[in-house]
Amino acid sequence: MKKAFTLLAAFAVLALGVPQTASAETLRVGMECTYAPFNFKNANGELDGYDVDVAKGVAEIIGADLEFVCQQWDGMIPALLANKFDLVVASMSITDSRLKKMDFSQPYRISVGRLVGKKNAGLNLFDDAGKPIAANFAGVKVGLERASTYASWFEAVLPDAEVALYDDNESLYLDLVNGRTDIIMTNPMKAYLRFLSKDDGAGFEFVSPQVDERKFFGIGVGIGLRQGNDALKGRLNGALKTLTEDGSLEKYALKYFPFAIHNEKWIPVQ
Amino acid sequence: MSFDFALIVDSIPKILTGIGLTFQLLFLSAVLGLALAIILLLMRISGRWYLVAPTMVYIYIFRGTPILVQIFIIYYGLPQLEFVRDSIFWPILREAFGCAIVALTLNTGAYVSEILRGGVLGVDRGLKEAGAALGLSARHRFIYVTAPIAIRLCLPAYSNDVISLMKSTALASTITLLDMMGIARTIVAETYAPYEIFISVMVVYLILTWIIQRGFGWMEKRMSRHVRSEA
Amino acid sequence: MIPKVLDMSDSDQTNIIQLEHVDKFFGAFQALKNISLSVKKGERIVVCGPSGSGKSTLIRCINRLEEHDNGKIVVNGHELTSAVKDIDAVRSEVGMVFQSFNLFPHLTIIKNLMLAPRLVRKASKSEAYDTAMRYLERVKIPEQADKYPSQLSGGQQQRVAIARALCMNPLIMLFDEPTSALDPEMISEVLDVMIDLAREGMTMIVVSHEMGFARKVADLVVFMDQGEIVESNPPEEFFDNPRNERTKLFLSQILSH
Repeated sequence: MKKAFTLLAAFAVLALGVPQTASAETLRVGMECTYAPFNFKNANGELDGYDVDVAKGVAEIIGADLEFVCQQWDGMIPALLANKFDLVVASMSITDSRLKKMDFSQPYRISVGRLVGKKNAGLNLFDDAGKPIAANFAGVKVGLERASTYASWFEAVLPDAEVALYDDNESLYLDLVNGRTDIIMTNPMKAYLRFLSKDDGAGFEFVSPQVDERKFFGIGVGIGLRQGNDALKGRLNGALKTLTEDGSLEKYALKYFPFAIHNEKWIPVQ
Repeated sequence: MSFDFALIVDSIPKILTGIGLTFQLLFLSAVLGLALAIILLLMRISGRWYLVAPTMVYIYIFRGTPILVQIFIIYYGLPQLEFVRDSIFWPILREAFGCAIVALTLNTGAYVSEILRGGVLGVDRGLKEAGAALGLSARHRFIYVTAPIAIRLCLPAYSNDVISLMKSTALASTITLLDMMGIARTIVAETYAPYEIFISVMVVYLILTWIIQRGFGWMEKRMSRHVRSEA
Repeated sequence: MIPKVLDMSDSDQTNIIQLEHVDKFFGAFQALKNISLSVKKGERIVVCGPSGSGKSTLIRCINRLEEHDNGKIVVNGHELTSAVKDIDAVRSEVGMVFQSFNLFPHLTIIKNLMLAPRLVRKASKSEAYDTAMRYLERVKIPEQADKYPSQLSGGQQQRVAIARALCMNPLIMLFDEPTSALDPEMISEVLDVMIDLAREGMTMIVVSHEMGFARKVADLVVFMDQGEIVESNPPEEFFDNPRNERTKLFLSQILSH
């Protein structure tokens, strides 16, 4: 009986699966293939990275085959519009100006800022709810990139903070190490890749939760597609919801970072 | 290209909030640089090789390299050395302002000492001999004869150096200081309007140059009364 | 006629300036060759000779504006050596007047005169001022006291330069071609001041081609050529009966001029 049921189930899967495979939908995915650790060729010459994992995860759920197309960044959107590929999974941020030409899925990676400071400095800058404690910023020198989203956030949220503005990301780390600043706020992935994972960053750590205010930091990175493909977009969103909730996105991120880089609760944007 | 004159009018007052810092950078480094230049000059004309040689090396290095490089070495380079961070100079070098003053002072000191040397060498030898023949000591000859005449000879070149020092203060914006240039660059990064903002800051610098030129012109006129003949 | 100091009557008097076998080189060029000369207090010496003969170098060695290489120079009892401790003190007793005046251009006339007395003699301001005005009156230009040197004529400037040297109350006055840079009409006003000075008994060494002046005031005329003293004699003898051929040639050129 049990055996018969298993067999039946197997038939059912076949019955459903075979026609799908027969008319196998192939999605062509554009990416740079040079943007580690998001999309790049690994030592074996295979495409690897967070974007690649997301694309593969989505494809598996919606039951499509993938074909990766390597495309230079500045031609990415024209190539999508010219139907050279169907999706952009290339760490492309969702912006208003891009939304005029193309469409995006829900974000699979978020834009956040995070503070980095000396280990065990006991700064206590954020409360348990993830809100900054303005009083504890007094006397703390903050390094930020000039006219960055982080600078705008500080100006709006912590206008009294003592801020020094730098022209590039590297200088932020230099002066943090040199002791001219006590904390910096930047993109946590950059901070990890360029600083915290290196020798110079050994004595430093994240000293705040991820600060995620869409007004300042934007929506995040989504899968790009041509406008007027609402059905496909719906399937992509459904797959991303699954990947969020079953922990796949976190698993993909942990291959490269010691922290997740997506919105841990599924909160659709629009 | 659309040109937004309203943006110029708006941004000049914002830029002017940095003029205090620009003035502080200019005056502090001009005064300290002049003091350094005088010390370097005295070493240079002392005739003792162990004073002359290091002075010449110093002047060669600081006149022969871009001031931006000097600023970066002082600001980013020195703190890499542990003993610098442990030294009594760290409270100065920790601050971007301190680093800017140190860099501008060291740089202008090298230039001004050469200007002063030109002035001292330009003083008629006969005048120094006249002082010597009267029994004035070397120190008195320098203070009462050589220096006052040399200062008059140097003034035009010195005023040019003050103007270039004033322009160099803008480089302090590269090490986080919000002088006029620092504020202008921040506004540009926010508005993406480089033409309007940089033209505004140019106008302000031009006015400062004009004021410095007029100031030195007035001083030269006053100090060279003795050259005006009665006729 | 100015009374002259005679060698015989003053033979016991010590020499205020003594040069013995002095050599001076500029690189390979020998500017002074074995110069010996002694000057007694109150004596007036005129040194002449063609240009490049070393006469300026000679008097510049006396206050050590040039350092001699060999021989001995004694001024007012101090031997001039590289070890001489207070060359400034020696110089303060030796006034010098230059061909090109060398007044301090940034100071008024009165301040030119007051500077050294104030700094070297530590005179009070009013003392220095009074002395300065006295000497300006002596050189007959007190009304120019508050002007700058560039506002004065060459002759006036040279008189100021003499007054400036006199303010230090020197024992000796050195004149290095004091009238060579002057327009002819200004020469006499400077020479008149120098003649007055001679009349008062100032010890003077004058490098000059003013032969009339030499005849009038000199105790001794020294002729130099190519770094050597060729001939030195009292003026009557020097002018009327020159012995050396080079002296004769020089005199014929300068007097026919």
